[in-house]
Amino acid sequence: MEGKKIKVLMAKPGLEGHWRGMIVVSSALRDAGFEVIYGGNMTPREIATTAVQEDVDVVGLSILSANYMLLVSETLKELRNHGKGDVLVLLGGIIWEEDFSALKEMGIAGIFVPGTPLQDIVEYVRRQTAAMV
Amino acid sequence: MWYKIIRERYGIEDPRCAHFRVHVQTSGSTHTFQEPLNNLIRIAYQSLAGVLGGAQSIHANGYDEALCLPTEQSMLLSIRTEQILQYETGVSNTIDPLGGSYYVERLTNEIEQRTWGYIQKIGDMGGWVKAIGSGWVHREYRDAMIEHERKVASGETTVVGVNKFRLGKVPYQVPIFRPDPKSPELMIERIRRLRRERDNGKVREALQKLEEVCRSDENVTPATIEAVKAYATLGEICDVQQKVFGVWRYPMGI
Repeated sequence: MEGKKIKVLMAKPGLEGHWRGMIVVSSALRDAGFEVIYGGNMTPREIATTAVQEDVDVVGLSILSANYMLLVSETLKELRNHGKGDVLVLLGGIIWEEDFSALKEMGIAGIFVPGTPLQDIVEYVRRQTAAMV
Repeated sequence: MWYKIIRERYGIEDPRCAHFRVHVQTSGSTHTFQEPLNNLIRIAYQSLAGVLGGAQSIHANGYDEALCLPTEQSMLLSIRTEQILQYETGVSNTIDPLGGSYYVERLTNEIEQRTWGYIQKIGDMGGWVKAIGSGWVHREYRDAMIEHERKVASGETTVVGVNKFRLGKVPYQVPIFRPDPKSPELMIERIRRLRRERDNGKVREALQKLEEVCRSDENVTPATIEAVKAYATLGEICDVQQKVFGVWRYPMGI
């Protein structure tokens, strides 16, 4: 099995300290064979510059602060401004269903709410990145 | 343990220092997104456990904190949870309701033994600051949460409504608090007004003083309080401290 290792940046835009979900998902992705960069808390700009420097294929955002509409749109804008608008962006955390379609229109590929089995997230990322390998 | 640490390790005679004051907050990580009203029951049991453990002060979480910032109704319920516990159950009528229970005393001794072991281990590393600096503290924390999630995923640890007795459909909805989308603008306007109306010369002076203190070995708290009194903003105060000390990144990785 030769192939490129898919690189994932996991980050939390904003200041909140609810890391648990992001750490657990990060370790599941790493155990599944992805190369995971755990960014922790980062500003939208830091996420974009790191995504460029590390040339990642996937950006996973974790937001539990209820402020996701603003943080997601700023992060996507920074990614586009840094020439990384094509990256696969996933969102996890406390996200309300009524916002799913607006978030997908903005450019979020997958949304994962609490209680999602880790295997579902791993399989989703594997499927979405299959063409890149 | 606190008493022993104060008396034997530090030799402090003042009896007030040997009083162990403890605040307990119920555990947010046990909240479930599924069937959020179940969290009310979890919060009530955890509050009871806090009282039985001797806490002086309890914070009962909001049952909806896994879904949103708590609603006012949810906050009222948290206060009522504490009041029912304190005024209706009688659990606070005696200082240690479980004192003498064979089982609880044995668990207490076991926890004490294990905690002394932990304190010894941290001491051997050179103390708490070194233990944080090396990343060990955060690794312990990370490993414990990954282990917990593994146990929930495997069913070894039961979470009712999530990995046991889970319903095929969402059985009910609860009210959700959504922040006013205008609130950032309102706050920005308030800060603009503050900056127009305060004595900016006094703010500059207080921030300069704070920077001097940050560069010395003095306690930074009094200078911080003076800056607050001059109406310096949190951001302005943090900028000064960041300029001098930089930003500490949590030594958390996977």
